[in-house]
Amino acid sequence: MFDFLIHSPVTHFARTTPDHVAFSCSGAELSYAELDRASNQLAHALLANGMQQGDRIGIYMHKSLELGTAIYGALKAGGIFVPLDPFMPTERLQFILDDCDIRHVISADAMAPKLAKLSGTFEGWIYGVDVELDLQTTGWQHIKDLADTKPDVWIVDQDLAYIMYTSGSTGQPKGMMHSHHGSISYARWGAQHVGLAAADRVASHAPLHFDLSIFDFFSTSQSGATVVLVPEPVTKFAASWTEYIEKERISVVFTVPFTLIDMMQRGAMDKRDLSSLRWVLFGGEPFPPKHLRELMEQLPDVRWTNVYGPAEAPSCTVYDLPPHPEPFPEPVPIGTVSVNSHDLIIDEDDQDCGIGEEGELCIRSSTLTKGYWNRPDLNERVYLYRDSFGPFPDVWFRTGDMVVRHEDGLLRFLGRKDRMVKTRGHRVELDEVEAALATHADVLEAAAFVVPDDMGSKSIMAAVKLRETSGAEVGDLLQHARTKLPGYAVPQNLLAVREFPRTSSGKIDRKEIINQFVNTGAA
Amino acid sequence: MNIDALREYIQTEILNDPKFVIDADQDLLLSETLNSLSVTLLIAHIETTCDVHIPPEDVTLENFSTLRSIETYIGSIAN
Repeated sequence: MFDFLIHSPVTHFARTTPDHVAFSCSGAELSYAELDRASNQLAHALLANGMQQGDRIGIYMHKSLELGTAIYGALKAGGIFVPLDPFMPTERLQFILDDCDIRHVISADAMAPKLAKLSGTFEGWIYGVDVELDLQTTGWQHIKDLADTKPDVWIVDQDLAYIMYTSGSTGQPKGMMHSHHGSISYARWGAQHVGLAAADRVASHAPLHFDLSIFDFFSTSQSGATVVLVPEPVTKFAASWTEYIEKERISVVFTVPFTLIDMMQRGAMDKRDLSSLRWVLFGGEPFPPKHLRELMEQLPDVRWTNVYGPAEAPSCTVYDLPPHPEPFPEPVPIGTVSVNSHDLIIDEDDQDCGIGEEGELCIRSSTLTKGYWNRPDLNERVYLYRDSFGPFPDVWFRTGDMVVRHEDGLLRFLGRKDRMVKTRGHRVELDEVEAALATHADVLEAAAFVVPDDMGSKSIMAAVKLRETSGAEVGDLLQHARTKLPGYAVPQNLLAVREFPRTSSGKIDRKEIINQFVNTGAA
Repeated sequence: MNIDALREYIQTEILNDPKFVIDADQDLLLSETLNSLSVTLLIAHIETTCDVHIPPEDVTLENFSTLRSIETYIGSIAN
């Protein structure tokens, strides 16, 4: 039907079902034929401005119909798209632009105030912006005059499709490289598992820079179905979100437990007709069973699937919940490996663990990342090589997640080996939070940690040791953190301490800090 | 509860930053001034301060996207 590239289905369905809606956003729609033409035009604009195959193309905009055009335009030109969180601080944006050597950014008029801050530092091209900026821009008015034929670019499935940045323990984000082959494996797994069909309307609730979005965009296009883009402000109000599901007749959702619990507690679900919803996939962090059971009771006809997998190896294990009201194991297992994935549990000496033994989960999978951009140090650490046969060893990814396999064959998630945490589905390295706080001139030392919230997730908190002469207040320090970190990684509160409690080895005693934090009521 | 009182609560109690600038018509979500957790805190504060009950179905983008829309909404349920 179509070849091995992640963007090929768009061209296919533009021929077979040209008028079917590819993207919908707040009532506005873009058909497969319109998407195919618009993304071809954007690809021509990129190539005309000197874009070379394999160049990284930043996508910097809020959810809108143009987001679909941007993704497919970048891919059709032979580019590697790099999602740029529209909410991230300018300093972080600048870091990613430099780190990934991005010279082409597809954006929107609404981003103009933020783009203006790049004036003088960014020398590349900005696309999709019709307002005047002190930058090289190519607006949609011009792009829409270009040829709408498929550009003549030769790409194979080994080529990179996207690079996704996530929190890094050094204080700077790191970019995961994913090929067309890996992306299409993930997309096809999702489409087959859920049985997506053209009539499905799949929510794009997660932001583009979150790996769940790859399912939303590409599993959907594999099936010629419709992506329903959920504007960011709608995602913040549970009642608006449930209203959106009803109005847009959304049938499939892949999101984090936090969103679903919020929807149940504040979404006025009893006031909405949610009968269009047939399948909910969740991942990113464990789902507290009591909340999941309650939600299943409220939506008894929906299928539920726990999808596990770090962004480096998405959807590598999966667990389909038995239909309501059948009981399910607690805590909810992460299940068994997905199609075309293979698991290995190892101990600290890289030796295999047996049933019931706790160890680190390693994965080899067709969805596996091709490593971290520009980070040979990390690439050396995260892979495990085992001889197989022939010249190529088997390559396993060390997830950093501790798991155990029970007698029932199902894997259970136990926690992390390192200091990476999940908050509302977002992955945050606590070392990065501490590094950001420590860049404030008055901060001598910082310790970040998490405390549980009442939504089944965790909130990031921090304690700081200030210089004796410091007049800095908590607000100043939080404001400083907001210039360095994405919003979800900024501590919700800070505690200034004269001295950190220490363990016998002299390390900061974070458990004791958490006790102090709770006792002061700061949490 | 007027715009100034709402602004002061968000600055001091939610953001811990009394100097944070919030315009009356600024989109509180797109500017990341509020998130879903802090909206919950704001609702509880309004309910306590104004002695009103805000049903979940009213906690929508339409009613809570800006300081001005929140003020208008509070006025509508207080009457």
